[in-house]
Amino acid sequence: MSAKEILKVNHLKTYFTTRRGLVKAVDDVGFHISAGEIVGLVGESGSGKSITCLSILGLVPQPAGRIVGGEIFFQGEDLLKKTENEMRRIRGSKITIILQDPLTSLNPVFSIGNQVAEPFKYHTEVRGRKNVIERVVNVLTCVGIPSPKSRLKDFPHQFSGGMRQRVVAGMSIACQPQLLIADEPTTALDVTIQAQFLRLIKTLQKEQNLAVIFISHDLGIVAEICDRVLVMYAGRIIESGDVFRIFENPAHPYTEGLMKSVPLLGSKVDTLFSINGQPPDLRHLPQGCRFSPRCTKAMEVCHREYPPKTLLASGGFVNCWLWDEHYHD
Amino acid sequence: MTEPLVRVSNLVKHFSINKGTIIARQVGAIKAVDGISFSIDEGDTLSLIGESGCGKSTTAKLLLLLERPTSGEMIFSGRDISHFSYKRIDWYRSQTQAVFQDPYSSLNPRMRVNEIISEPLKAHKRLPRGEMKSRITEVLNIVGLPSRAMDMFPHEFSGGQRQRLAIARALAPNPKFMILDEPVSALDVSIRAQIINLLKDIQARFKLTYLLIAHDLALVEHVSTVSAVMYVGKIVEMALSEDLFSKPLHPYTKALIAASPRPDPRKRGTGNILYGEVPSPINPPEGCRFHPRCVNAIKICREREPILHEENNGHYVACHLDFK
Amino acid sequence: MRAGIEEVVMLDSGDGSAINIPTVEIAPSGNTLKQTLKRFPVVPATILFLVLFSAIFAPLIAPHDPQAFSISKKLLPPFWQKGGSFEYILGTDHMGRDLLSRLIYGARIAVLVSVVVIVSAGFLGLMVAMLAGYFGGWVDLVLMRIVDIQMSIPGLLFAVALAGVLKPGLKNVVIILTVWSWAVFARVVRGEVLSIKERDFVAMAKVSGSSSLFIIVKHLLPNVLNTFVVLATLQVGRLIIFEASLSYLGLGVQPPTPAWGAMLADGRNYIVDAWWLATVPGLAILGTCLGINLFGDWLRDALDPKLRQV
Repeated sequence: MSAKEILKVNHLKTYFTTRRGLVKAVDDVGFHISAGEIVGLVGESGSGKSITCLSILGLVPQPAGRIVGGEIFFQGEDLLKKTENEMRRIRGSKITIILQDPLTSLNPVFSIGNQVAEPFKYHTEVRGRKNVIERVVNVLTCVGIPSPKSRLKDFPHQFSGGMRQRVVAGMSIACQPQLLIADEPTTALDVTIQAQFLRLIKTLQKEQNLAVIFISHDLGIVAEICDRVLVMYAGRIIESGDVFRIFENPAHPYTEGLMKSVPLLGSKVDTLFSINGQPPDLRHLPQGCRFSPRCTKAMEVCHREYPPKTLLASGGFVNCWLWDEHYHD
Repeated sequence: MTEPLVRVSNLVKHFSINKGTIIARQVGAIKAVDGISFSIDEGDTLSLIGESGCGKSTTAKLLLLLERPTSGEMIFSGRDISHFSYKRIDWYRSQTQAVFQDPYSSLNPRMRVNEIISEPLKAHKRLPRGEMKSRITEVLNIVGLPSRAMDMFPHEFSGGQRQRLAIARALAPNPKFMILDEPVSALDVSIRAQIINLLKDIQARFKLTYLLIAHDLALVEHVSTVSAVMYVGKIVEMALSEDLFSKPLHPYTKALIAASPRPDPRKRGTGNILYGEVPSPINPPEGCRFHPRCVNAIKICREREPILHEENNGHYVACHLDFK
Repeated sequence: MRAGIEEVVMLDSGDGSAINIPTVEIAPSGNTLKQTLKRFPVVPATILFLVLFSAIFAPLIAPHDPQAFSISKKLLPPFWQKGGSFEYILGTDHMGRDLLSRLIYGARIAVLVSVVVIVSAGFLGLMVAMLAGYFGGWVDLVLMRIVDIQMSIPGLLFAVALAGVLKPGLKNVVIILTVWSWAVFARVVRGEVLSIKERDFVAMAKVSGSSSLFIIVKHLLPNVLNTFVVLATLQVGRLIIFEASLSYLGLGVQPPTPAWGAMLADGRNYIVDAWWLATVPGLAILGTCLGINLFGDWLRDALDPKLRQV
């Protein structure tokens, strides 16, 4: 593990037992993040991107879900071997999360000042009303809330959606975490507010050397702020790479299909390219490559065996037989 | 020149805010839609773009007769539908259908697909029972679903498939006008293209007229003939899509376009960020509603509200700036 | 069984070129009828079946006349105790009447009360809830105030007052209980209606042109069924106990007609010497209520289309 690497996930498997079968939500996922980089986790519903992040934080809904295998090394220590108490000390201070819905992320009956103060009170030694208030105001200024001092006693419903999301972001960075997980944080926001929020994330990245896992299904957002991209499909990572490379030369047919099916402002096409079929049922996964039933370039081996990881020259990897040395022409 | 299929003039919808339980007095109003006018020619698609509070959803509800306008006119196929008479509503409802955003709540979970799709047919007593089944099979096939879907329940389908069901239901009574309120926003990216292609296909085949509400600008550009940008209850710019997106005039339109993230990392960071929040429709700013956030605002913008006027051929804008 | 057919349907777009819209695969999900039946609650259903059976066939299965008393045979214990016999399996009460027979006949009152009252109160409550919830405005205001008034009168007091006006007896017990229990249905179901009314599919029904009646019956009603069934099963339990209270106070079914509540009341005085007098009817009430609740749980799940296959 390199010195700057702060998170390394190996062979993570998180399964859910449901009445209708075993759902392999995350099925052997591995990746790493270095300090100060924004990694985009792209995938559609059922790809496993949210569960991967919940697994990192130890917040997988139980008893249905269990992490059945793998290692999650955070700053050298395996999180999966930690006790709940130890995880509680990490959550909110070293690794934090921003969720999609700003409406339900904040408790409606407590004031903003109260809620932003919580991480300080729980994780740091900061005591005394004046000190806490100072820190809270600091954080709120950092995330761009205008006149924070006068708004400490306000309640969440008195803020707009964009402001609420900023408050949540503030709570996340209050204790200066090393890793921030953002799960579709701008889906519920208007596009101009979204632009402001994305700029905030970039600022935090620069000023605090914050590493971010940014989950999104929106390729535009990913292109806007991510440094590296991981593409997930049916519980596995099928491609990873530098953001410029991935958009310019997607390696995996699924990635390519995604790129092509997103309409571009300014380009005129008659029919949008669409990927045939739908994502597979996670209880009945196809044999071989999970994308093969929908892939226009599928070969015979694709339906038979799952493709191994092929490292790419530009950095990153892809799991696709088309790139495997035996089949690559 | 033929009369447009849909024509809206000075449409206004204010929701009153009342205080008091037994005897209520009006203390304010949410000016959701505050005087908009547009028309849609048959076979065209008009898109309404805008952020929250701009009034696009309310406009859709007004055109679906789910809300009554406070004032203004809505003319459909030459007939005034803004003043309800039951016969008119019935007729209008057989001509106009809708597809909503959320595929999980727009289908009754306790009804089978054949009941769901036949509902508009039953409501207008258009078909005898025997023909109902074949019509259902027909629309199911049009949207790409097998006929055995008829006996299934909505929860047995995925999000994309449910939207197809919703489209099938909308098509069943053979409407001329369809209102699509964010039809693909709740769907996965790879499914969106399928549904958009389907909607375009059936528009061409059945010569449908669409009113599309969406926030994805690239999608809007791809699908619409004419696009209108709304801000706090007013239309601030309206033009043929190709003109609006290639040569936007209004500062808000420009900001929207700049803020839309492009799936191209080389273009990141370009465009100015628009600051501030969308104002509340209860108390919109004086003069031009956009002036507090506008980088080009001049003195008159604070005082007088600009009128929507035709700047170039077919390109309308409501702004005091001189675009020459 | 998973059905996955990918058919490509070739359609004619009218100008001669075919449109290629691939048909999407659909796989039916949900439990089969077999699976639903597998979770059938056997014990609760058996209890309820016994109660129902007793109620219907009481004259055929009761070993004795429930009202035949004999001072010499009073307070005999159940057969497994010393002094008991198989002639009076569960013993006799203070009037020498066979407890088992009284229990069986008492089931009639229990069943009658449950079924008739729930049906009428439920129907009334549902109708009020639908009208108030769907139409809102004045209709809602007036109807809900009536419900409020109804619910603010303490049950027992209300029953006593009504009983003062009406003669005690089975028919009037049913009336009193119906009037007492409809309001809670109205209140709770209306809440459900208010939230379902906002769902997209109701708006879509309006857009389709469906009449208000159609929307209420085909859209709202099936979706409030869940809540209604749960509420009904809870209410039955309360009803049986309320009826017992009424009998206890002498306001319900009059002696010598056996009713579990009255039997429980009578048995109170003998709880030390003849524990069976109170315990047996008490267990009957408990068993029936429990059985109904558990059965109701299963019924609610069984009615939910998400949980059964087409």
